[in-house]
Amino acid sequence: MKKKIYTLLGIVIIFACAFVIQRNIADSKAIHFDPQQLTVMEALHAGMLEAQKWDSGAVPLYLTSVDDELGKKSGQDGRRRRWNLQVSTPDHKRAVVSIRDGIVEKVYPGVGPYIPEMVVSSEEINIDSPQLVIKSKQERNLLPGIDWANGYHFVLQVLNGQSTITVVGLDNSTKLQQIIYDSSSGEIMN
Amino acid sequence: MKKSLFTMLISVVLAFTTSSAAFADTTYTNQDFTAYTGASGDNSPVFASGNGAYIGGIAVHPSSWGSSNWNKPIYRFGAMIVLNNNQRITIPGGYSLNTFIVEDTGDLNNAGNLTYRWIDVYFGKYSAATHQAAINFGKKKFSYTVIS
Repeated sequence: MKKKIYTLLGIVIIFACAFVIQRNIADSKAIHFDPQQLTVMEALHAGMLEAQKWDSGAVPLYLTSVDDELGKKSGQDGRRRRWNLQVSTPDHKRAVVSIRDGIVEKVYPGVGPYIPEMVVSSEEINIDSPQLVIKSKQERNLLPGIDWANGYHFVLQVLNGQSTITVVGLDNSTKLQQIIYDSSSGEIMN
Repeated sequence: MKKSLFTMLISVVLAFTTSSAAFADTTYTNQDFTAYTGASGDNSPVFASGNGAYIGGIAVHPSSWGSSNWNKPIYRFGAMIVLNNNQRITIPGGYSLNTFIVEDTGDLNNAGNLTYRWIDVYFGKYSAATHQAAINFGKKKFSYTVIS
């Protein structure tokens, strides 16, 4: 009887170990070959789809990539795993949409004033983060962040009435540097 | 035999339950909130992030004390904050607001006797009205979730 119990227990443990190993292999693949890193445009699209389910009047105010565990590697190709989007509605509601690994994780509803001057117009976005990160490296020698603001970050917002995409990294003296692009023309604004 | 099986079983259970929660959203309760404006005479105030100041931006403590850490806030780049329990802050102009973006740092040397997870809410460019509104806001306690 005891022998049978031990045999059964042994089988259960072997299956459990196999499951854990398989899961870890899948996780490591996800880090190295993650197809779910998004560009600015893709993150905006994914976030707004969910935001408009929350409220059909939702418009984008501010989209930013968020620090992750990939260090300097993150954002090198203009894509990132973690994004936060803040949206607004004409009746003074707001929400934060968190996007993780290519999908919307959660919508956090809130309130806040509707300020038309802060609303990002999708029609004014003609250039995406993969092109802008190349431009930032070539024209300004922008380096990836190491600790806080790791890798290259991207922020979509309206500045002085113009939709912009900011690429964030470090300069040669490891100080935080932001390069602000007109999202319509791709021209550097600072 | 029994002992080794038990050890194996414990190892398997630990393997199943160990997972990284380092990037989960976090809630903080009973934290100090204050309000601030741009400096007097400054028509284009700028946050520590480099962005022009706007309503909805907030300041937090630096990750370690010292004025040289003005550009290292306690929260990750891109972090946003939502007040819990549908609590709201009334900003100049009479609007309610409870979603914020971490853009700035303050109280760099921990001189204000504030909670570690303190939040300073930007109330707009300096004017007599916004300055008075920030004073009237005083110091309040809120709970909030950091989305990062």
